[in-house]
Formats: sequence, structure tokens, C-alpha cells
Amino acid sequence: MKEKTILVKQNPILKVVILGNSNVGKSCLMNRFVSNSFSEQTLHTLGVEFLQKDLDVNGIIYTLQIWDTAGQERFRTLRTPFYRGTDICLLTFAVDDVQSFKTIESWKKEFLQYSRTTDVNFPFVVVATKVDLQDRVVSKDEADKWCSEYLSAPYVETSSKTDMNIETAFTLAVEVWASTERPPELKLSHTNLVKLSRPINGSAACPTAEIVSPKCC
Amino acid sequence: MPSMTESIVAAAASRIGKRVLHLDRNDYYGGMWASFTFEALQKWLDECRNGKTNDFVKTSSPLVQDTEKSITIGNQFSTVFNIEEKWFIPEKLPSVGNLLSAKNTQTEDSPKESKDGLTETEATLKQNDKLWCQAKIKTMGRKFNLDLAPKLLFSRGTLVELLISSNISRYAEFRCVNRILTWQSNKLETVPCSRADVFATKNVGLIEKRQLMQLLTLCVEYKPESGEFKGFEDKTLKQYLESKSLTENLMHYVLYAIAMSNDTTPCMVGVERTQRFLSSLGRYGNTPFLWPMYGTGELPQCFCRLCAVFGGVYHLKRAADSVIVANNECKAILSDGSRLDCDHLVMGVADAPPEFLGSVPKAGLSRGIFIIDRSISTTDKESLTLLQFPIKGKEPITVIEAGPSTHVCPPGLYLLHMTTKQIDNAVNDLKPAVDALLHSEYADGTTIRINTDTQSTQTSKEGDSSASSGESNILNESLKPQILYALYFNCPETSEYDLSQNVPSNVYLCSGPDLAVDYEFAVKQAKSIFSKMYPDSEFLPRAPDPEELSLEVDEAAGPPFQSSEEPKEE
Repeated sequence: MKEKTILVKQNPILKVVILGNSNVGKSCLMNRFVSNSFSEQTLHTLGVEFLQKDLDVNGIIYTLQIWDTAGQERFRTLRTPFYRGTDICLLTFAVDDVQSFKTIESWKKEFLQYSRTTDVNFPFVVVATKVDLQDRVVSKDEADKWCSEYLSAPYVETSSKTDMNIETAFTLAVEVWASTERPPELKLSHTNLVKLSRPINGSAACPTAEIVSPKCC
Repeated sequence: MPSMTESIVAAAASRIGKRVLHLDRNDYYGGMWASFTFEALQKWLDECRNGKTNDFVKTSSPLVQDTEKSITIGNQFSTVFNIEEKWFIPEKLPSVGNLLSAKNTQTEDSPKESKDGLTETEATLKQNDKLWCQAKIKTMGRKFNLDLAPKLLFSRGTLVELLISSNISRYAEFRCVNRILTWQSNKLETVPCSRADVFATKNVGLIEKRQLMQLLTLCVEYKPESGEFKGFEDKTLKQYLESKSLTENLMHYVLYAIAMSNDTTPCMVGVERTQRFLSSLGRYGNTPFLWPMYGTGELPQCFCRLCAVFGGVYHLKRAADSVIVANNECKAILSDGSRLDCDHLVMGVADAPPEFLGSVPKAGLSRGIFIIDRSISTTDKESLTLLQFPIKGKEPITVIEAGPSTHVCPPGLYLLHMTTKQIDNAVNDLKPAVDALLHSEYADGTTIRINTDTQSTQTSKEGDSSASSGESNILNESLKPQILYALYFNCPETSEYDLSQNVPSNVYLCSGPDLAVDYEFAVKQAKSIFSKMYPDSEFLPRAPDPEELSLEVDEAAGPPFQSSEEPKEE
């Protein structure tokens, strides 16, 4: 395992934010993707800034950092420390909640405003959640059409409960990001930039799964 | 309007598991410590000029019991006053055609074709990039981060140590201030502050260098028992420096730039400041200071984010209307028709009801924000500069200049911040530094004063041929940055005001921005408030990194987030 660590190059790290109204299932989406778990009663895990997971997309292994909104979306109080340096933005809505669908566009605006990105091709992906539910009120055709016409963003339907399209959604997001051929925001080199500590960049050669494996002691 | 101190307290309380509710009437974080885009600054100014809308509050609400008293939250000190805003450039640039004819009338003897082989139109268009108008600034408005309270961090100061020890540093990035300037004999000079600088500088002679090194070493190694400063305990730093028979040059460097003092600073205070300055040298760069990328408004937000990550609830655009008090204790606050019970209430002095303040705080800050077209002292690389502009017999004017690489302004421009103690009003208080450093005539937008790239390529403005042969001691007027936009205002400064005298036992008032160039005051105040609230708890222990948490992701579960209906007001 030691040799492997030396051989593995640092993966590209992409910061992913998941936006959308409260209760659309952002945390479920994240938890299903990162730890393949699902709970009907999602609890807000205190102290979690973001979760990391490696994802193989077309032969390249990316480390995705998925940032938790920490409940700040409830009163729309997310600001720059959350948005800065984002590479990919997932806009989410629940198919049983019309309001959450209607606010997608304002989340996109909010993102553009506070992330201060001036990039017209910034990678957004719209993710519908809870498609396992019977009482859906936003139809697939309607959402798909609207996303391509008004947001020019790809659209994907998911269910964290049944693990439908979860990895597909993140893979799609990375593909959209890769198609715009940009360097990961975090890796832009700034001369003389002082980072008081670098807790997040250094550990990619030693994936999380290995650190937490219980056999190390 | 929770600001820096409140945000730190909130993060610290949330970190140890307390439930924190953070209300802010504004739709941005940081109150008087915020950074704004150009557009947001205009909106803020409008609000300041028109006064905040004070909603009607019912005091005899059924939410208040008979034994309780409802005290309306005030904002009489929150006002920013003496606002002066001025443009020095036209609203729009003339079209290229007009510009050409304007140029032709001005430049009688200039050759038709320019030296780069460009046609005159092309050259004019190229020059146009360096001509500024209001519309151009406004279209780039989002590239500005204009700080209301610009401050620097000492590299080994309490805020840097706190950011590292709490792991909040992961939200912020910094740049080193790479030069410290001083104003002496009517010109700007770079102050040598590190050992290497002292040896490299051409501004002081060999004997002076030795003297300076000796003096700085004395200050660094000073211990109370050493006796070096015996007899100067009740004298000024200046008197001490005079006793060492330093040259005027050295004295100026040490007194104003390194000790960050003035003629009346007591000797031992000056020595302490010198120590602090020197001990922060070399940690991240060749000056003791750091400046946050995107401006200082980032910092309160970093603490707010940590607070939220640990369960704090944030509500912007929602004000607390009144405080419910019984038996000298705050029981709850009223906000938007709801009663929110709390154990502790932390609030800014600007929001404090008049009853909570013994008297009206009198001290104030004079602030100036200038968008300028070049650095006050151009070099081939972009600089991040601190200048303590000395004013005889008064507090110096603190000047911070930051450029596009810190993301506070678009390329081609610089931001200049000035801060000093209010004596008269911001315009008059800052006038000495503005007159000395900046060109504040109206620029018509048709001529470029000089090449803005480097000093070495300077050319004199047409019709101003005397400028290049001007007296060498006087900063060449044509080299000074042109002010494009200036904003002056005054705001209260309550750092020396006793904020605990008249408040209920569980209410803690926080000062707004203070005069000092650093964050020491805000951090100390936050620590002291926290230790009063939770005497036995650790102040901002290190937040875990995601890797450290991964193991527990499946199992670890906090309390249900939705149930926070009985919050602590922050």
C-alpha cells in the first residue's frame, strides 16, 4: 500500500456545491453518493464542512468535494466562504414540490451573484430528486424541456432512496465540467498566496476509504 | 448588525454545542465590517443617507409578561455620517471620433503616426483602455470588494493564531503586505523592516544601519529586568529615541513605521508595539502583515460559516425589534412578531437600546475609500502597501493600498483606504494624506496623464513640460495616482467605551470597527465575552477536517436540525 501511495498522482480536486430549497434531499443525495447510505429521517450532521469521494470519469479519477450547505439555504444565508472556488454547481429540486422547481432559477442567480463567477459557461446540472415518489407533480418532460431551453443545463432524475442515477448525476456533472476545459479552481496557482493551513489538498494520494479502514491498527 | 466580534463569539458558542441564532437586519454579513461590490456600496450609501426604516414596534405585546419590560432596540449610533461621494471622471468617455478631434486640437506638434506603427485610431483605442469613465467603473462593479473597515492581520497576531488553531483558516486566503512606506520630507520612502531590508536599503547609511539593527535588537530582546528603558517609563518613545541620538531619518522609520507610534506615544507602549511588529516579521513575508483575499469582509463570514457548520441558524434581513428584560436579565427578544427566548444576548453597540449605554459614545473614525488609476508608488510588480501617514501631534492616517491580485478591484486599478481618528470630518481629517499622495483634479477623460505601467517609462503630459523638471523633493504631481472615485464617511468608534456598565447581566455589547490597524481588539473582546458566557469552556477548539470525520459519517448524527425553535440569540 505504501508503494501505491507513492505512485498515485494527486487527483484533480473538484469542489461541488448542491443548491436547492430545504427538504429537496440535498444531504440524502450527498450521503447516498459518498457513503451509499440512505435514511428516511435525514439528520443534519454537525461539523461537516464537506464530504469527499473519488469518482472515475472516463479513466480519470477525480476527488469530488461535496460541500454541505449546513442549513444555510433555509434563510438563503449562504455567502462567499461557501461559494468561493466552486467548480460545479448542482441545482436540485424534488419532483413532488413545485415550489422547489420554480426556485431553481433563483438559486442559479444566487450562485452567480455570490460566487462572483463571470463565466458564462459555468457548469450547472439540474438534478431532480425523489423520483421514486408516487405523487410527483413536476413531469420529466416539463423539467427536461425547461432546463434545456431556459438554463441550458443538463437534466438528470434521481432517487437517493432507491439509489437511482446517483453516481450518474455526479459523473454527468464532471463530464460537463471537463467539456468546458477549465483548470480546477482550487488549483489555480497564485503567487505569494498565503494559505494559513492546507488541510484539504494534501491527502488525495491517500483516499479517505483507506484512512478509515479499520485494519490500520 | 452582527459584526466581527459577534461573529467570533457565535462561532465559539456553536462550536461547543450551544444553539445560536444569528439575526441581521441587512442582507449581507458583517455590518460595519462588510465588503461591497460597487453596486452594493451604492445601495448601502442610499440606506445610510435615507436612514434605516424603523418598523413600528408594539411594546405592549401579548408576548411580554407583566413582570417584564420590552426595550426597543435602537440604532441612533449606527448612522454613518458626513458622507461625501465624488467622481473625478466623466460619466461616459467621448466616442473615438470626438476623442481624435480633441486630441488633434491639443497636440499641435505631435506626429501623425505614433511610434508603434499603429494608426492614430488604433493608438487611441489602445489608449482608451487606460481612460476611465464612471460607466466603465460601474460595468466592472462586481470586481470590487470595497471594505468598510479595512484591517491587516499581524502574522503572529491573535487573529492568525485563532484562525489556525480553530481551523477556520480553511475558508480564507491571504496575501502578504510586501512593503511598508512612510512619508518623509515630502516623499514616499520604503521602510526597511527585516534584517535583509536593513542591509539592502539605500535610504540609510552604514552607521545608521548598525544603529538601526542595534535598536531593533534591543527592542526584541527587551525584558523588564534589563533596565534599558529605565528612566523612560513615563516619557515618550520619541524622547527615548532622541536619547539614542538617532538621525532624523532613522527616528522617523522607527517611530512612525516600525513602532507605529507618534510623537506622544509612551515609551513602553512603543517598545511593545515594536516587539509585536518585529515578532511577526518573516513568518509569511518580509513585512509583519497579511491582507485577506477579496477584502476584510471575508473574515466575519468565515466565522459565521463555522457557526453554521456546527448548527448555528442564520437569518439575514431579519432584525431584532426589542429586548425583553426582567430582573436585570434578558429573557427574550422580539423579532418580526415572535418571541425568541434566550440565555445570552450578544449584540452590536449600534443596535443597543439607549438604556444600555451610559452616554453617547463620542469618538469616531474618519474613513476614505479611493479608486485610483495606479499605485501611490509604482514598481514593476503589483504591491500591497501599508503607510502610516504621520500627522504632527495627532494620530497618523493609516493608508492601505491593495491591487487587483487581491481581488478587491479590477485590473488596471488600485484601491486606497484611509482611516484615522475623527477630529473634524472625514474630508478634512484625511486631507493631508489625500493632498500629498493623490491627484484630485477632475480628469476629463480625453488625455492620459502618463503611462501607468512603470515609473521608468514616464512621459510628461502635453502642455505640462515643466513637470519632468520639477523639484526632486516634491512628489511629481503627474506621477500621483488620479482619483477616479472618492468616498468619505465618519462612523462611531467605541473601543474605549465601557460597554458593560448599563446592560442586563446576560447581555454583551460588541464594539464596531476600532482605530487600530489590526484585529487584536475584536478578537480580545470576543474572547472576553465568551469567557463571561461560558467560563469553563474552550474557546474555538480546532474544527475537525473532513477526513477525520469520514469514519463517523454513517453513524454520527446531531440533533434534528429543524427543531431549533428556541434559539439563542446572537
